[in-house]
Amino acid sequence: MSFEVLRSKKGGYVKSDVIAKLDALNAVLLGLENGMPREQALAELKKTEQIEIRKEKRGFFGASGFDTEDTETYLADLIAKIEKLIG
Amino acid sequence: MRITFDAVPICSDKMTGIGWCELGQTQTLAALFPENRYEYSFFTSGDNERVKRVKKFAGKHIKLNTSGFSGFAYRAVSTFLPVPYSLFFGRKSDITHFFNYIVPPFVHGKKVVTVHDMVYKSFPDTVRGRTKYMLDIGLKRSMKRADLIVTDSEFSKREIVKYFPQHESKIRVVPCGVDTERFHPCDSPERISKVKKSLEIEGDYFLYVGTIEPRKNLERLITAYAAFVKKVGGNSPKLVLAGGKGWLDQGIYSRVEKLGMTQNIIFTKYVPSEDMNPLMCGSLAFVFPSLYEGFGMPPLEAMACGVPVLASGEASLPEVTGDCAVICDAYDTKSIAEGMFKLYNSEKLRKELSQKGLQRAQGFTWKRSAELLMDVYRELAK
Repeated sequence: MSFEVLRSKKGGYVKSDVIAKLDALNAVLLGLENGMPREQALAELKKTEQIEIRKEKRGFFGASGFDTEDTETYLADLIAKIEKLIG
Repeated sequence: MRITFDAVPICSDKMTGIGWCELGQTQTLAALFPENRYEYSFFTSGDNERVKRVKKFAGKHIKLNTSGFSGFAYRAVSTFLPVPYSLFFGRKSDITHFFNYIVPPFVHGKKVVTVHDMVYKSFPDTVRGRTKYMLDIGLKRSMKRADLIVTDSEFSKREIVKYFPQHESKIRVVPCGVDTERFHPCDSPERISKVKKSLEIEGDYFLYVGTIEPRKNLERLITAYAAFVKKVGGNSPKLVLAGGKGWLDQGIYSRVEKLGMTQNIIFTKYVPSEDMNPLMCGSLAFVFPSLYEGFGMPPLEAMACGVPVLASGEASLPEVTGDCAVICDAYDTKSIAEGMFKLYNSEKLRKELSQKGLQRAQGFTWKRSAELLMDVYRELAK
């Protein structure tokens, strides 16, 4: 039984980068729900696009990152939610 | 059988989860199987208090085997030089069990090591540099030295196999238990009021118990709680964070200030062991949205107290909570806030989870844990 939303995988996206992006997007989402103006939300959303997500090294010396497919799906869902709220 | 338990995790005056786990397993094992000989081995570093503490835990079933040498110096030197452990603790034991990842060089007889999790690989940013360094150097060697490897959950087993597939056949899962003498539904409500007063808690509260560190996802919990307060308004329950200061905790404290939550969020001072049960029982719900846990003892303890739990679905937590908790997405503050609101808003849900949690916690006993551990030792003695 597992509910892990972002599975770990050798290689994959750097976890701290993904988490930084998720936090920024979640902040926009929470802001919108608390009455953040549309223009400001759009500007904040634009800023999150600048947050780079690097990839971990693969192979023997590689480190564990978040599964790329999980991450992309999760981010896409979150952005869709924000865009829906922005309208 | 002569069985030695490395007592380093239970020597400290402020014991962590690893220490409580060792204590639960070894004390129960020694009481259940008195036909074997048991000892706690540890370096005293000339500290008599340490000896007194371990002696108290040892009771009548477990003997002490001590060396006056410095444990810190031994660990530091034996990381780089093969200084024999048997030089300090003899060659009498059939099995020696190390509960904290590292097996030192030249231990007599069979060796068992407990590897609780792989957080230093999975979330290296959340581990202290020196811990990561010691594990990077020592864990691979330790697992090679060990005849069998014990871990706390199926999740942790999968994690170990991910990084050390060559040791898969040596891994055995022995889940921890919960101490029902310490954690049970409160039978004296006046103790709850006393403990709340001593910790300066007023009214209802959500409770988190654990180290104040990033791995526990506290920054997101605090953000989620602020959103919850905004929704509920003035009468919202407080959030009590009870635990020792950890590493990289500054961001957590500053988040509280930034969100203007200093009146709503209470960081307790050290909570004595005897106050933990009333503190748990007095809470509206227990919140634990951790990003990574090898086992997840605090939610299990809350369930044993009959307290409804909000936990993340990450790592081993679903193995512990099953369907007896509200599960949230650890990376989504909105999901955490919604979980809190669900619990706050529905007494029916709280009651239901309380009953289910109590039942589930009964399946995690130290007796079961000790029996499984004895199976591991018997397998080695064959």
